Amino acid sequence: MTTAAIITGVIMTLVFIIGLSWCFHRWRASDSEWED
Amino acid sequence: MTRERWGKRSYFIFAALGSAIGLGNLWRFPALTYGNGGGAFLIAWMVGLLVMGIPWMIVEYGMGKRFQSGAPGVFAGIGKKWEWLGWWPVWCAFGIVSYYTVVMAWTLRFVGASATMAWGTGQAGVEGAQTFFWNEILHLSGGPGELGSPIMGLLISLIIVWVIIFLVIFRGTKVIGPVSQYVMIVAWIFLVILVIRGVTLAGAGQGLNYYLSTDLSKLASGEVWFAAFSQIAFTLSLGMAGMYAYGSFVTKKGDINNNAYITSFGNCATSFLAGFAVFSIVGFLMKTLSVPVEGVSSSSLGLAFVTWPTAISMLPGMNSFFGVIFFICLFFLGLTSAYFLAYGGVIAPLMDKFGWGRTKTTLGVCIVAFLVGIVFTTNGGLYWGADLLDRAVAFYGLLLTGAIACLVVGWKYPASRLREYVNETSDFKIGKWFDWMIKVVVPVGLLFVVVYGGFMKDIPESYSGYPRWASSFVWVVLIVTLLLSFVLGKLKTKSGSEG
Repeated sequence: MTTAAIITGVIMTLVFIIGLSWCFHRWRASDSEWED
Repeated sequence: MTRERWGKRSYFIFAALGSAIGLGNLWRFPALTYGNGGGAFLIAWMVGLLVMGIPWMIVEYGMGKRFQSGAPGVFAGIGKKWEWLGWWPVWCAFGIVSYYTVVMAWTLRFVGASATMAWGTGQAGVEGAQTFFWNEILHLSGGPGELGSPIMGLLISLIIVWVIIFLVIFRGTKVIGPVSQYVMIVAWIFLVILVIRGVTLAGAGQGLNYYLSTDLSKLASGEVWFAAFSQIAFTLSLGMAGMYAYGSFVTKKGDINNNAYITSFGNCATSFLAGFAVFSIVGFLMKTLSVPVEGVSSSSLGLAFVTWPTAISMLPGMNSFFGVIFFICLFFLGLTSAYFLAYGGVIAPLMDKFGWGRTKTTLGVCIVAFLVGIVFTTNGGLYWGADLLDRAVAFYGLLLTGAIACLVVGWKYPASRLREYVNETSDFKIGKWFDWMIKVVVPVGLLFVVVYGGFMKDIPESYSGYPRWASSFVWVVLIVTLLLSFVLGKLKTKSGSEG
């Protein structure tokens, strides 16, 4: 693989890891809030 | 009547993820990335996700939750005169699920065929994959004018598909939630197995270079932005009515914003991962068959049903195993989207409006959609279903209803009220930027795609090169479904759907 392709792959992987980690970090509701 | 609930937050997230992640993640996204400058496309795609996809998703989840109703009830809640706008995507969802289930029937046929490698292995498989799909599975006729008769193998598979869908949805979210969770986890495990197998094949690196090579100058091209925004518009299963209903099953204390971010990112991460499986296989075929990338890369159905079987037949070992894994993965991804369309898109809005029981409504919708789907199991079914009807409902219908819905929510409801509502119970708050995304950016983005990719192509020239009498079907479907939506919007019922 070329260096450019590896860099693109790594950056995109980090974008998703950081994005999803941030979402789960903010996750605060408990399941009790999901039932009436 | 008490509205049904998801029971667990994870059930909602997995169900929403399952609806968004479908067959298109596996074949459309990777080919678009390659064809539009790799990294440049990924940048435009992420911009599209942030400014269009996520705000639109918050609208559908948030409005569904606010009005505790499917799409028609949401728009009737804004004003009775807007109820038709909730019914139009219901018709689109019905149209999509009627041919989408036939594509799942093809997949089911391939699961069985993979077990015995019915199209052959090695060089025989390379030659056999083409004829197997077009002649043995589809028995495809020469054009839309030659409809022929139903193909028995497809018809039986279609019955099985609808029985599975019925069994999942007839008890509502109680079963949809846990089934979505298990099915999605298994699909991801299978996808990871396929990625590992793919990237360890000879030639994989060359294929991945095509997938990820970056040409930033392409960001100046309108084509790249068109491709990125259109992919975002289609990949999240928005504009098909179902997400309003899925959002309506969220309790009054449940989060909206964070769930929209998680499902959007999760869907796009799955597309990105699938790209590794697809392009490592593309590289493997380029090397083993000594053909250029154009010879094996495709953004059409052929990638899933011809290119993959070809690659599977050329694997050095365990061909059947990887064939079965691939097609079960494809089937699972299709299944979660299909029952989302049937239940969230059609059944829940009908139950809301007419007060019908769940089992009877589910049975009725499944039978009618199956009967319509029989047309698409015929020799000419591919032209009328996965091509022409798809163009009408999954392209024009989805984009037009999505754009008008965002304009109505943005300006009439308006967006600031929705933002304050979703911020009350969400894990984090969204800012005023959201209002302008809904009022301007999302509608403009969707209309850009429908005008540039639709009207400007299909009006001067007949869609897909079909004769005009056949391609007119697209406009007929749009007009008829729009008129029927007005009729349903005018109907007054005891249970009514006014919010």
